[in-house]
Amino acid sequence: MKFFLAILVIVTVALLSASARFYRLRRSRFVVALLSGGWLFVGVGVLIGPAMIGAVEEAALARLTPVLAITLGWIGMTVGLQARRDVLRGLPRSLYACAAMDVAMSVIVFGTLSWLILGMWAQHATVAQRWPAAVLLTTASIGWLLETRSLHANSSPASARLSLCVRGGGALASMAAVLIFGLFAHASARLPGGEIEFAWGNAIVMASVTVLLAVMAGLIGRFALRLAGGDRSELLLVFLGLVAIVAGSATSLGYSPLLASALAGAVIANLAGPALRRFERFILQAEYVIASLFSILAGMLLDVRIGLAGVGLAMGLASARYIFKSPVFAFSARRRWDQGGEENEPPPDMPEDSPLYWAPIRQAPLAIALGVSLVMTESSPMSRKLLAVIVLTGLLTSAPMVFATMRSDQTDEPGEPDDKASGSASAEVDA
Amino acid sequence: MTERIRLLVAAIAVMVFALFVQRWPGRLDDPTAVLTDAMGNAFVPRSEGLLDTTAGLGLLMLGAWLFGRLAAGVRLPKISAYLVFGAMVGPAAISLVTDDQLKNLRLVDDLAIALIALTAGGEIEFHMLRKQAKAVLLVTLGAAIAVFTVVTPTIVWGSEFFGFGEVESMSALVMLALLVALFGTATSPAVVIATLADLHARGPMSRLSLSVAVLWDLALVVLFAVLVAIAGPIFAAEMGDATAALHDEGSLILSLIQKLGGSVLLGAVAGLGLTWYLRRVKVHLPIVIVLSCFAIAIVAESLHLKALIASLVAGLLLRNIWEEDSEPLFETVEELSLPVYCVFFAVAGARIDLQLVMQIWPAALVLVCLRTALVWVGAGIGARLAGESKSTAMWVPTSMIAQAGVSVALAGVFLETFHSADFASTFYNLVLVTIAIHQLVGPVLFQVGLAKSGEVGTGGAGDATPVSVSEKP
Repeated sequence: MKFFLAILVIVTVALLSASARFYRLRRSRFVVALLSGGWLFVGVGVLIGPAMIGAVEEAALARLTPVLAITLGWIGMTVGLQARRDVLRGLPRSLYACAAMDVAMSVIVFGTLSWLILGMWAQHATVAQRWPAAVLLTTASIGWLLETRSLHANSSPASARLSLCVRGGGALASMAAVLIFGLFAHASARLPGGEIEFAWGNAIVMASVTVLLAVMAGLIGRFALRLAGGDRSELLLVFLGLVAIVAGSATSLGYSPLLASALAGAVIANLAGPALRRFERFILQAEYVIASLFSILAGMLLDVRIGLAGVGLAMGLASARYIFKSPVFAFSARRRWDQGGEENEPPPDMPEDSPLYWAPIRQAPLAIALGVSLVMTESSPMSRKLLAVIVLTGLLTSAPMVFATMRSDQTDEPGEPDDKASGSASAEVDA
Repeated sequence: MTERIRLLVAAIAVMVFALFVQRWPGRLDDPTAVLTDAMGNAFVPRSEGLLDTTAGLGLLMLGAWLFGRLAAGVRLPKISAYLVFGAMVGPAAISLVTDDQLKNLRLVDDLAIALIALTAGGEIEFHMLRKQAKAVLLVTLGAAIAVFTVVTPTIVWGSEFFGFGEVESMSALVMLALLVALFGTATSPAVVIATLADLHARGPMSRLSLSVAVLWDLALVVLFAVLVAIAGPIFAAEMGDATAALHDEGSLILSLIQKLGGSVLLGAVAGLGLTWYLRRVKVHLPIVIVLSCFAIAIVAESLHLKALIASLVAGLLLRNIWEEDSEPLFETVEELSLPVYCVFFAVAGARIDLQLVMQIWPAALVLVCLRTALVWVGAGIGARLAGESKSTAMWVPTSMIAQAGVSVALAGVFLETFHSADFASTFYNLVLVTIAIHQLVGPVLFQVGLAKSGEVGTGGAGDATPVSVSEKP
């Protein structure tokens, strides 16, 4: 009772915050920056969760597993639905370059860093035991927050092009993060006695089964979408049913619900034909509320008792983002990857100096989804501490930006909002 | 034909998908092993039932919907298809949905009951009822009196045959018989509205059918609450729970008034809250409705009130007092109802104990025949006494044969309330089987009735009913 009432009050606040009455408030860059990472709702989740005042107890939290699986499936499917062949083919090469360089840099730099710090944090853990945590922290470092409005960029064509790079490159990197996490985080397996060891064979089987599930669900989804036509209630049923069956099946098999639903989304995106647009529009309508609900649930799940080692890990990851992300992004964005490409006129040069180059410092909200995904498959204290590390890293990389925008909000006249406050990948790519 | 085959293949594909997931070993941890994480902390994995629930939900939703489409293609009611699908994949048959999953899906029940009642309340229009008060009263009374006076003694007399042989006390048996009879009087406004809209029917019989269905729905919920409140201590005594049985009449009446009054008050507050939201905020209506339904269910449960009555009152007030504000809300309720109904009816089907059904099907069949005949005669006499035409009196009872939403919801409430009693399962299965049969024959009979009374196609597209319906069962 206490739990549901708490959730009820919180979601009501989320709904009210989405209303026209609060529109003026949402025009502030500071509020946009605050909402875009979902920090406000994560904070509320932490506050009411078992970690703080305990309005939601552990048992009640466990009962929310289906809701968590569905929200994860929803996130995965929105990521996967962007993987339309025609859209991917039409994207400038510079976006792929940005994403690829970020993935490569993240795997090398953040992978090594995570591995080393985890070695100090969990000293007695075997390599196989540390593996899922390292994969999580590495993939959580891939990509960035796609929101650009709070960064005060000017409206020149070069700036717009750079903004596209931030959004498009970040969205592509998010897809890569889901794929890498889904394929590699489950490469270790627990033996009947409880010990963990590497099982690459299992990982290959798991990947094949996930693809099989996604293809089956995608084919069912394609047929179901055609049947549903434009009927909104049938579209709702098809979406909920698909997300529940794909994410739920992956969860019950111990696989990644994010990857399974992202792959199913990709299959649907490439097979569904004209029904897809209606489907996408329909899904995006609920984006803000679902993202808020997910952030609250994530906040309730995390374990704040990470100690100095956990704080050190988060600070290390955040520092690495400050050091590496911006220069690597600037390097890949400024290279003229598109020369001689599909465009008739050569693209304008990227601006020499723009606040948009700082955008990749901020951790992507998808990182929290990856953390929750690990908690779903292994609800251990370690997974929940890692989720807290991810949230803290996100805060450390976003907070300076938020304060910077707060200061400039006092002097600037804010413009019209140009993207969704929730900052999810789907909205950004559409924009 | 090709479309039907495709539908069948898709429904089978959904089941094969679920079967594959169920049989595939996956990588779930050994539940007997002591699990530790990388830092050496021991932890308990999530229960398998809980992990499987999401997939079960998806299977029931998609599978029931596809089965419903298949049934509609051969002119069979969708609700029956949802029930059949649920029964097929439920624990009593191929067990793609297990008992554990069904327990975890209780939240869907709460949501569906509140949503069904909200919809039913929204279909009651005072001004329409006032015009036909006499006819509505006499038709419903005629049917109710006929059913109660014949079905009650029949059940008591044939308790062995109807599966209640183990009920020892006569008072408990009489209460059970009264409850069976009450379910016998239930109708389905949703089916009436859907059929009228589908056939573009308009005329005296159509109007009377709609008024009777919605008014009786309201009365049924209140009567059910009254009967269950009275039956509570009697059944408790039958089950050997002495403390629960010690209720004097005064406290019983007081508790009943409290329950009904409190539920009405809760419904009024919920209605007011929704109206305020619709006026001031007006965004994300589907989520607001889902949350409101949950809120009503949770508050009602904790205050020992009736969620069904509260939601019904909320719907009724919204439709009749804040009509302009509530229109978008009811449109959204309509959008939401399909997934909720699919899962709700499929879960109801999955709960059917097929072994028990094999034992009680003759009893269910007798009950169906008896009820159909009694409703026809009683409602027909009532209509004649109200001065309705011969044709209307002859065919208006056909609108009362189908049973659906509220009846299934009430049966679920009964099972939940008296789950520890042996007779609860028998009662639930008997009622559900009769509802399923009525649901199969009811819409067909009503279609025939409308055709015989010459009202089919007289309303023109879209103006047959005061509310629009699309996929509501």
